[in-house]
Amino acid sequence: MSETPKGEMIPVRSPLSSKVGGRFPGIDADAIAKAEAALASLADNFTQWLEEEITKLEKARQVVHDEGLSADNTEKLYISAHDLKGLGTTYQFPIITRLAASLCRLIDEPARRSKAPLLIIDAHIDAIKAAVRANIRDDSHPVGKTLAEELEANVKQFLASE
Amino acid sequence: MSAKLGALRVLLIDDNANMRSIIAAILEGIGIKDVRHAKDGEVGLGVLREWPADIAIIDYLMSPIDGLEFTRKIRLGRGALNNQMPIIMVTGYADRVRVLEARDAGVTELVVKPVTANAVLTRLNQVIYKPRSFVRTDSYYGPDRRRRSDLIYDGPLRRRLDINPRTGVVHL
Repeated sequence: MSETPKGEMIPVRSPLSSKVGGRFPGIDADAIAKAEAALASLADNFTQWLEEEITKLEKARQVVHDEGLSADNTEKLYISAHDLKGLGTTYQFPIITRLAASLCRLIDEPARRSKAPLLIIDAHIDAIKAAVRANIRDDSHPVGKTLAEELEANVKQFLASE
Repeated sequence: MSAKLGALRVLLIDDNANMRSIIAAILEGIGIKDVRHAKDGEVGLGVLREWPADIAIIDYLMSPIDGLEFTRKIRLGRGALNNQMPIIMVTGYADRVRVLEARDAGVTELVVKPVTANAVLTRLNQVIYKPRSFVRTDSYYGPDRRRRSDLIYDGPLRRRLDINPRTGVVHL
């Protein structure tokens, strides 16, 4: 019979509560409202920031087209898609989060990235750009919904075939 | 008494500058202004050696040192690093495998993107006011991976990770 691993409990040496004192206001609506207002104050930048992210994605795609689906090239493509997945909703484009998430699923597994069909990669990136161009923000828009469903089905089919 | 959150030093580590700006704005909204930025885990470790932060808010996917490796290095505590520093990981990954990886590296709290003010504040509240004890075993040092320890429980140990409240022994 194997020996049960043992360990010790160690109390926190310097709890941060002793540094800040009081009751944290994060649990009250006022603090959340202040933090949300601070976030909303950035909204004027979101269009430009979204363009920057899409430019990065487009550059990564171009490198993949020029040089092929190497580990390094696909990693850069994946990081760009992953950033857009995380930021799309914050930038008030939840549809971009959905489309980028689908692209991430397609190339999530590093060992299989080199087999990902360029056609499906391109379709995702074109859809993301089209959503911004046509101001399609979420999947309540019929075109956005159809695009997302179609791309997700393509990814599912590809992954199932692997 | 209201909390003096302005006394906190927070290090933001993310390779995406816009994401750092978003989190910094949320922090500033609640009075946390002593914030430094780093573009990856390696730079973050360098900052911490000169400027001991109270909390690190980190990304998962970064290069050359990603969020997991950064966390493991912090928990090792070499070179005057505070191995108990709360680490809040902001990640686009919500799948079980990566969440468990983060937990097993020693991450204190997770925020799944898209980032909201509420999610960040809730995790800050957790690390400030409900800090978890640390656990040291042969293979792990980090926050107690169970959300709660039942301090009066004296029954059989049934979970994958369980701690006898009398002896402090961790059963993995």
